[in-house]
Amino acid sequence: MVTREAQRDAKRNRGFLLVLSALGVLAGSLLISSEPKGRQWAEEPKAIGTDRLVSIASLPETGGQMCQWEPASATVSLRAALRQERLAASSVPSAAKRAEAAKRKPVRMIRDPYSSYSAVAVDPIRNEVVLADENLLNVLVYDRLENTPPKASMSEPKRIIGGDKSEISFPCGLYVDPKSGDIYTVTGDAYGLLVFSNQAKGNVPPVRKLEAPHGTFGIAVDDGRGELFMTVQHDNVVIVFHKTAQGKDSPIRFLQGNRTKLANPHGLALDLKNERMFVANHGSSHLHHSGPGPASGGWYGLALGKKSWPLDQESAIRGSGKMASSSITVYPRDASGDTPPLQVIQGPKTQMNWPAGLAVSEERGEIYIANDMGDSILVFSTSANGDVAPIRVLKGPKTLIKNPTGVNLDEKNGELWVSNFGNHTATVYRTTASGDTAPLRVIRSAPLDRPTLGISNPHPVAYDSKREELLVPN
Amino acid sequence: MHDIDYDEIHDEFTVPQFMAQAILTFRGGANGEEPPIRVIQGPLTQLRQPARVTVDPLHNEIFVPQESDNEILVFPREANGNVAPIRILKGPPDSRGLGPSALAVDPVHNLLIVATNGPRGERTESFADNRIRIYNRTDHGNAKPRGIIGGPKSGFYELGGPMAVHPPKGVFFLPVGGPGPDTDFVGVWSVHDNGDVPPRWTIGPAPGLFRSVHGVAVDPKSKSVFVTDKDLNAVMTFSFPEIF
Repeated sequence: MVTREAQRDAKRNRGFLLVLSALGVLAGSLLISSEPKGRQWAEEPKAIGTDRLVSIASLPETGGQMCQWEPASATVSLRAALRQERLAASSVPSAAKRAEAAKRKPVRMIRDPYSSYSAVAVDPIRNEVVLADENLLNVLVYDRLENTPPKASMSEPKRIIGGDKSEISFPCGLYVDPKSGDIYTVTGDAYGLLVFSNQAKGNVPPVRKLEAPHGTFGIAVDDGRGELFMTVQHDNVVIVFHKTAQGKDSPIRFLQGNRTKLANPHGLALDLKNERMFVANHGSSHLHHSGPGPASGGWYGLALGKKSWPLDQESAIRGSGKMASSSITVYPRDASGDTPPLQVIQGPKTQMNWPAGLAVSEERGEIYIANDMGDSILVFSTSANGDVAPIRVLKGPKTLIKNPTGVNLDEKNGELWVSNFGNHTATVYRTTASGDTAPLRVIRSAPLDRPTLGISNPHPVAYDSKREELLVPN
Repeated sequence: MHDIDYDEIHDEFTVPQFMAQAILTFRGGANGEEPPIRVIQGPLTQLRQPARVTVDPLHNEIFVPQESDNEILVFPREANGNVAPIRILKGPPDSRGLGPSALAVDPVHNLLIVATNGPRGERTESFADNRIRIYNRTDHGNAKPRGIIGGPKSGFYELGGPMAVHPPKGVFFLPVGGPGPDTDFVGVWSVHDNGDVPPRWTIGPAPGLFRSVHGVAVDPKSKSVFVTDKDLNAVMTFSFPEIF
């Protein structure tokens, strides 16, 4: 149903466009005489351009009565408006006015002041749990048995790592070295991998950082072989480094190619007992030209000086993109090059909808999937293949699971951890939990009634004038 | 998702889908898992890395800059499926000169305002060369810009965030990433500016205001400027009656 207010707004909008059109016509007639003869390319400021007739024919149907927004004296008011524009274009405000404007504070700000957990890693040896905060851009360490009382506002972490020296930017993947307790943090929008010591606290630099392709997300480590795996969303890659790699070290190998079926890969998990690698794919992909990357070194020149490096967007084949349904693809642990998957779990029965974090229980032969848009944890057999239903689904209002993006198994204590990006919580369950089961414990970063905005890495913003709404992609 | 443009006339919004090399258009009130009403995708499109998009609702065109390819693809607004661009504005072969990282269309003055960076491989070294290049809206091929804004007075450093334009006043709004803390700002220039011109107005730089300014949009009715800050994960609203 169209409200009267909406109709009125629509009329105003049509009127506005008519005004724009008319401005163009008038601008063309009034300003044409000021067109400079023989444009110069000098650096000195100079007015440029002429205004041109805007296509009146392309205006939409006005539908019904013409809007009365523009008065009969439109010509006069439009001339005034145009004069105002010309004044604006030719004059510069005073230094005092500009200085005042520069210091202006926002009248409103949309911002969530609380942590939103994007990834989780349990350290059963030190009895700690590490949570990545993709809202305030921190890494938080809590006691493993922390449980926020229902009446408490939130739980205080034992340690917070964050700030400009830390270089943490949109942390989305975590790994805790069982031996040293070092915290490996994947940054989705910065250097690639940052490693902090177990006792790091505050605004401190990482003890080690490793350059990776832009758009890393998931992480898994084979401690026995000393290998570190990361997914790269943008270029459909699994890249493998020595666990101790740093700086501009080259990868040992990478999995990338048109036969891999990698499609915006996110979570990553290893089954070392069965020598398998599991990857969660959102579903969008494009093909790459084979052969070496561009001489420029690709995106930001990252490939320069490296022994090998994955192809990036500059090697993407134009118009080869496609959107497919989400999937889990399974490879040999040491797969490289353009290796096709051994198994593909994909299809409507799987219930997958943007699978993010992954965990594997070698003991139980199960894959655990943080099913972001499905508000669920899906559990499959590690041998699952094709369009199959999960063997367990953890979902429902009692679970508190909301936009889960991280999952981690604590096999020592038989617990399953979930980071819920959608409600300021990390929740803990028995490994075998299913259905609408309440968590054993909850770590909450905000009062219960505080909404989660879901904003993460906001690049653009658009204003929907019809609904008076801001559109914020992430 | 690195850009969005709302089309007030047709009540639609359009976004680039980088991973799948597609341009998606949704109805204005779309909500939940609603499919797009149109998708531009396929070999004819020449899309490789669509990260930004701008819709000209008056002339019914969609502009897609491809930074690494040194080009801007133009499609009919109502294009759907595997559709070739109707024209391509492309920089010189040595890739210097265009490298469009963001753009805005002024349909009244018939101008295309393009934020340009150096080649990717040199980008971190070439901030000083970043420029705003202003073309005729219908320019194609290796066209010469009508005007080039940039230089020390302009204060450009990192460009590339989505811009906004306010045609009735002939001004555009540009997010500018600075070289260090508290140096980011939003600058306002006239579409008629040319050369090393300082912004007519700025929001910031100011201590504690921005950390990483990224996108900008405007609402002339409320005389507001909306600014996203990536590192604050925030959207700020500034009242700026002087500009509107």
